[in-house]
Amino acid sequence: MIKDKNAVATEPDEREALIPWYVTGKLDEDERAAVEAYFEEHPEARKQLGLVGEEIDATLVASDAIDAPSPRMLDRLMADIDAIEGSQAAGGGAFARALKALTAWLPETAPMGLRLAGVAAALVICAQAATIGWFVVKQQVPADGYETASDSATTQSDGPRALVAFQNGARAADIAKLMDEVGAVIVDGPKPGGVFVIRLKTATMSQDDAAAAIAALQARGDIVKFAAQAR
Amino acid sequence: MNDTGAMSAEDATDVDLISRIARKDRLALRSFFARYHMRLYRYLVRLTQNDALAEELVNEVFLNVWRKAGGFQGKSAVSSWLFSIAHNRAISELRKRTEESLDEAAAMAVEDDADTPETVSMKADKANAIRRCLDLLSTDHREVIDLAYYQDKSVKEVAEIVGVPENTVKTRMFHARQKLSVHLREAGIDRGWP
Repeated sequence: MIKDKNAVATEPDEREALIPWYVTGKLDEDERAAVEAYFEEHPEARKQLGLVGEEIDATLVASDAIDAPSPRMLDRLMADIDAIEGSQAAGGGAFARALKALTAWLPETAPMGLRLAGVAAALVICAQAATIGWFVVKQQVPADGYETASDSATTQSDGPRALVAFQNGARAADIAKLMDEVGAVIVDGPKPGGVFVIRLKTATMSQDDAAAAIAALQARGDIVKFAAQAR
Repeated sequence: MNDTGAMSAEDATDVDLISRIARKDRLALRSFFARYHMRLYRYLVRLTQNDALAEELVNEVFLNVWRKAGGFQGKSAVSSWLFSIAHNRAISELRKRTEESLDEAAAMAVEDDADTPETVSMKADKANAIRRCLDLLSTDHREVIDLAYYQDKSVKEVAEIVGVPENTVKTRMFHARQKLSVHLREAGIDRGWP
């Protein structure tokens, strides 16, 4: 393998290095089999499934917490495009000369976007674009047809939350039964990597009870790929 | 496009949008923007750790898409092509802004954390500690984690976006996770690995 400039001492077994993608379900059959063979040879490595789960949780929370950008971004983009197209159509004529004059106050090294934004502001070009919703939720339904509860459920806080990924071949009926057995309900997902957020139903559940419920999920390796308590 | 070369419905929609954008269809660009701008913005905020710069770069990337859609050859998924444009622009900007000094400052912050009340708080909230320690990783390490975990990219797709061989992606991810454990240990949390 090529040496990574950020590397610390240990070089990984290639199969061990694939564990994050094993959890996110992004390996082909051969790679998945190789990782499973690695787990057979190194049972202690299964601990990493939980660690990867924690890392995924932290990454999702960190990215989801980022505030939306300005709702006027699309307006600005379209105005910039109008400026580009106008500039090209005008060629070396009067428009191009006017454009040059208008951008003269900006440094040559300013990013193109900034220069064009300046032009757009100066010419008050085309503000017709309606502001569109800033985000599109990708709400996939997995191949097994298992559907999740509504997003509004994620705002409930009456029970500890956990992250769970299910085995590719897990059946919806078996998942539903397991959720009943551990007293949990799916409240969000699938997140990137096929991860679901579940909520344990009992609000008064102690940390030990919550850990026991997670352990019960982890013990069902035929259905659950990994499970870890969330924040 | 998945690793077997088959095209998903999502990929097909992307390809259709890009071919329409290549014909200067503004409605297609609006649709493409709606599909990707939030994901792209979050990726760029995580990568640059600068909201204003990320917003500027998102605009630059979509302007690039408008200009270069006709040159898209379909060798990779549209989303990988899009993120690779964003990666290149962001890295170019970060180089200008002396990335190294920022990383050094972050490293110093960890060393100084040893016995502060903040460390105690981090111990009490492991999830929060992991999030904070992710921010302390180098740009390369933070990026590969974000692409794999948040953007749901395969090894091959991360390699296409970042422009390195697949083996480097695997190694980089492994070392990123090791480094995360090191930061957590410095903050008083032992994950038991490596």
